[in-house]
Amino acid sequence: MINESFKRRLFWIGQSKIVRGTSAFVAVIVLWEFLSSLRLYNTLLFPGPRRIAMAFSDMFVSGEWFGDLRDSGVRYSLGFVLGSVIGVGLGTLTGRIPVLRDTLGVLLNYMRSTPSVALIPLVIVWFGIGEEAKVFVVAWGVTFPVWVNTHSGIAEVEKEYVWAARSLGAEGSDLYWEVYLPRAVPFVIAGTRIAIATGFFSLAAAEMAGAFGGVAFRIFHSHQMFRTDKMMVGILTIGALGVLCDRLFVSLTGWLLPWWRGESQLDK
Amino acid sequence: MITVENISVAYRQRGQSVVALENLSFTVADEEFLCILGPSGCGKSTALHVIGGFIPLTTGVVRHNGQMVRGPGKERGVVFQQHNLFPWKTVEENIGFGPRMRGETKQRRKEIVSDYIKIIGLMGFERSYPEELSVGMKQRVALARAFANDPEVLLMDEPFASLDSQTALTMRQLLLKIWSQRRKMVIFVTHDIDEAILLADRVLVLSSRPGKLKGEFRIQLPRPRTSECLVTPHYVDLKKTILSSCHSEVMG
Repeated sequence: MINESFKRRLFWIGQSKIVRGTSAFVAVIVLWEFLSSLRLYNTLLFPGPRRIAMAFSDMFVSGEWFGDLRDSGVRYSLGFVLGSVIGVGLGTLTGRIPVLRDTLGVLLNYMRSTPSVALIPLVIVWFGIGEEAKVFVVAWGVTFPVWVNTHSGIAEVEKEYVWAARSLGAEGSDLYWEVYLPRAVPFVIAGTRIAIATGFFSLAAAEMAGAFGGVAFRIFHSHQMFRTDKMMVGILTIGALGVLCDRLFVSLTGWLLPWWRGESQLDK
Repeated sequence: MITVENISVAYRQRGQSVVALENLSFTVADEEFLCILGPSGCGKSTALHVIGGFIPLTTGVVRHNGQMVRGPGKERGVVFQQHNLFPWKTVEENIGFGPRMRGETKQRRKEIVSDYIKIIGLMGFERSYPEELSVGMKQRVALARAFANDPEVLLMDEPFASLDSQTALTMRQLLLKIWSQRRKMVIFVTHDIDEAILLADRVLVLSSRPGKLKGEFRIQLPRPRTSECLVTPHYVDLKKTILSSCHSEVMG
């Protein structure tokens, strides 16, 4: 018979978010390993967790995995920062200046509808398959969600805030830095969070179209080598990176927005 | 002194021209407490926004000490009913905003802020964000922020309308207390007759849309005024007169 305190402990473990969150992963991995060990299907096409783990440990030891991570990380960071800065800048312009909203805004909306993936062949013609091409494609994927959200944030600033600030002596650039921008930050953050995902999407596509290293490049390269285990390592890595960046960003928002109590724009 | 000369405000709404104010004229003296009383939608807030320089006039002119008002300025502070405080700034940053904009030193700003924090009784909330405060506390901070910038005129747009009556009562006393110490011209918009009589030196009654001047009443109740004024015979007479002026509105 199981004693009471043990039961209660089990109950609380079951309530833990971390336990609940990892349980689905653990269940899938166990089931997956079990099925692949039965060899009911061709495990060369779809290797089990153990094979993937072995491939990972090889790549880890040889330094290949770290190299890919570094290559992708550098490209992604550069593209992400560039795209965010451009997005916030454009959003400020179109959100604040009606003439630009009606001219530049329409043009940007058109450009926004062009998926970054569609640009890759042309971008390769322009930049070759060097780093510039990838940074460009990532930046493209990041710019537009940031732009759209910054634009609405700036355009929807309550007039009372602006009136109050001007009545307290704020003028010109003060209004931007003290009122418009801080008021728009929750929107910018919502846009940036979407951009984290669109940026990864663009990165994967760009690396597959031609590169010498990188997580997505490795997936493509392993495809040509018919190393499904290494492909799986790449796929799992890029997924983990996406989740990690998103979590990191969400925890950063608490620091960026100590005043924010809304939920609609920032579901955690 | 503020002079409002023959102002009209019209704007377009769904293709139709709406007249919010028509031929309104009045003057307000320095250190005078003026209440503009009227039903909701009578354009009283519009009048205040025009004096603040926030919205353009269709006709007429507003002068502040002889100078035409062309836009908002630090001579005229404001307190609104909502969206008052910058939610991204703490209580002390909100109160210190005006002094910072006019370039006061950090030391001086600190003095001003702690001075007002004491007056409004929010010691311990200096680092709180507005969303962490109750509605009443927020309006206290809004009052402090407006006074801390030391404007010549204070424009108040139904600042206590969203408070429960008990809190509104304390807020009115607080406002009168600060005002008695740091005299300024106050133009206070309200739809509440009791509030107008309790606070004002003079009450202007506006008719509903388009807002026109319907009556003007001098309130000669002695100061300092407390809520007890509200039961004196003089007060009751005043209220009757003002009410009948408001009522001819509803009937006519």
